[in-house]
Amino acid sequence: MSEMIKDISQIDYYERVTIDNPRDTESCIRLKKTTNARICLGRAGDRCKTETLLKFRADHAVAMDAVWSEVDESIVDQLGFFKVQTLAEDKEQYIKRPDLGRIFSQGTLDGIKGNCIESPDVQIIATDGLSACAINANLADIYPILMDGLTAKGYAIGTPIFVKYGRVATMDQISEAIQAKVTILLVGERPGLATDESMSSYMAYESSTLKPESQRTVISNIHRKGVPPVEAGAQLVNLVEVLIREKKSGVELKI
Amino acid sequence: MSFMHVPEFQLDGSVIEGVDKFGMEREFLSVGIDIGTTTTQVVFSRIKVENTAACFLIPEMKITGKKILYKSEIHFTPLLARDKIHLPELKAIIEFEYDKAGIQKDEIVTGAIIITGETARKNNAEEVLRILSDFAGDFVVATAGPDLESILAGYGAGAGEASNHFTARVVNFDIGGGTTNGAIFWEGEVIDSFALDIGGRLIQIDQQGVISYISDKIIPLINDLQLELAVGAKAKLEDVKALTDAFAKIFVQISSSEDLEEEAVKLFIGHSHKGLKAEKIMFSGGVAEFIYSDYEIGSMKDVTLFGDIGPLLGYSIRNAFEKDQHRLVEAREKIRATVIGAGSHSIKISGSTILFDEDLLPLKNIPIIKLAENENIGHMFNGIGEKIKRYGDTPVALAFKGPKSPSYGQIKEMAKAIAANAEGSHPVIVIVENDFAKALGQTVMNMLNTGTRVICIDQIKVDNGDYIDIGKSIANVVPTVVKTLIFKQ
Repeated sequence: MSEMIKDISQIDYYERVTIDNPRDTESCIRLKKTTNARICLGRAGDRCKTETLLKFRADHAVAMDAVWSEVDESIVDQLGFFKVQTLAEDKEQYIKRPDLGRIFSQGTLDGIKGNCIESPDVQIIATDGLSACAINANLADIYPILMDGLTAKGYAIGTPIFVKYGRVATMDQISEAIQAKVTILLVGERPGLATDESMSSYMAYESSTLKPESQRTVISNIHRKGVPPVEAGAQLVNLVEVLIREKKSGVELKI
Repeated sequence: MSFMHVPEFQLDGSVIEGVDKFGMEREFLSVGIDIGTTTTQVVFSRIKVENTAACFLIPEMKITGKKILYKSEIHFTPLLARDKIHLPELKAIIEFEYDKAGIQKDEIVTGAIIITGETARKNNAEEVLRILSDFAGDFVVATAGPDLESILAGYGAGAGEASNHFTARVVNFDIGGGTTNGAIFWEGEVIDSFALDIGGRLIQIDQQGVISYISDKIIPLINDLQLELAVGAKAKLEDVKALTDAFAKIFVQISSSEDLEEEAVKLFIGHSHKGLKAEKIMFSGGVAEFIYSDYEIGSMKDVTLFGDIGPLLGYSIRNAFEKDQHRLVEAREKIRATVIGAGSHSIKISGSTILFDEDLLPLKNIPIIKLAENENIGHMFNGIGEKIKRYGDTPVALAFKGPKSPSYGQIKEMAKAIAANAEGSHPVIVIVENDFAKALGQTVMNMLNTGTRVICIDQIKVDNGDYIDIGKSIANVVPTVVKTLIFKQ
């Protein structure tokens, strides 16, 4: 039976043309490669085919699951991250109350101050954001190359921090608590229908709750089909140098 | 007759104007010089490189515009003898064109001199190229080789874009004086290239209709066809036309992937074609001017317009494809296709996240050692130390495709093997196809940690036997030229 049923999550739909008897399959594939849109699908009467509908539902399900997924803590433990949690008590509250996902209790901030290296040149933070799958997929590759690259440049690197139920702005509070020069936050992006593994890296020079969002420099689309995580890591090492040299980040910085 | 055209994108039109995204936009001048069997030409182009990625992404620098600023006159290639190029006169021609265009040598950022057709087989071709490449500008590369010539001519004619526009395999035949260069394009890329000893000047005929020269290359075919064509004899139209018709038939057969006759196969230079069928057909080169025209030939007088068989060859080809006219596309550039290709299509831009040492650039004529792909990374690097040693004092570049998104473990494994084979004072030069050069370069550098210089670039495809030139950086990417040299040692 399993031989008869295709696992639609395993098929490369960037190349699969489901039109019946296409006149020019190669041209269809060429078109498909230029876009994420679902084209060259064929139809059943005036509706889409069952396969098309199932694929759409499967991709949507991946996106829904990603939002509710949890970071595999063995990954962050292995890499030596110090773990904290925002004011969000659970995933549901985290989703419903974005404000709580941006702040910590005084106790948590004291814990960070007491356990993490003070005044580092570079502070690295990882947080689940809207897709824990992105952290699970990319952290183990981006973090070590980032560490090795920054160490080779002679930077003092802070204790890495993992934030559970965290949003981007958590980097401001952490930076203020430990007085970091450059803060890098790796966060799972809101999943779309293309992938649930896409991660962003936000960076800021003297990241602060008093500064506007425009303080941040961003690299997005980090995943194995976008910017490879190792390459993003190498690029981040370069950006850290620029931020420290220019003493600014975000829109103030013209790269 | 009317022919299909490739719509004008940016090549000959204006360079697209866009906003300066974070200062990541550069324009530079490029020169193309084509020294062919019959003619020598110079073209200056302005090439624009800019960031095409959205602002939250890693920059993606691409060539976004090309504008031809100046096309030279078409000069006859000066020769001292049949087998020797007249270097001083050639230099004078090039100098004259730089002056006339009002362009200084130090304004030229990149470009290519290509020595093509039979000229590449002249005794002093290599010397001429070497001297001219220094003479023409800082990073102007000298290239030769029938395959490369085919590719450049095809791009210059617009066949690359035509393959996208028509979603078709497009073959371009660039028919020059001595050789024809064929290239087949699909999705804007070359999928086959080849060259043939077919050209407009393989037979030369004076105003009286007396044959003054016949190339050795086509004598077997003339004998096979039992034609009365000999040096010193008066040429009869029917005999010459029988020969040009035979040439035309070869083009019909190649573009429809039909079997070629034995004597035709012998006309291939170096290697045969792959036999791929092309849906659309284009012609460039001097002879093409007579294909896409209504020039009629009634007597030998009409043939000997330029003292050769070029016009008649064009006429024969036009007639041979009459039934297939819907497959013919008019080339955007005809006689200038190769020089335009050399000036603006020889350059490839590296990926945007790379590692380089500006002081080391430009690097010229770096031989490539291509590693066979292997899932086991350790195996990929087996025995490369030996291969590198064979080059002695010459620095070499290691090239491979590599995994699509390598893990950090794989990066370290590659870096370890590369670092272990770093030879003393040579810079480490690595060229990969997939996007991980910065990660790899940085890791190699951290492992060496001894002041050894590292250049690691990506999104460039090379093969064993190729040579690469890497130019000074433009907005954090480097221009490269990949070439295959044919000069025999």
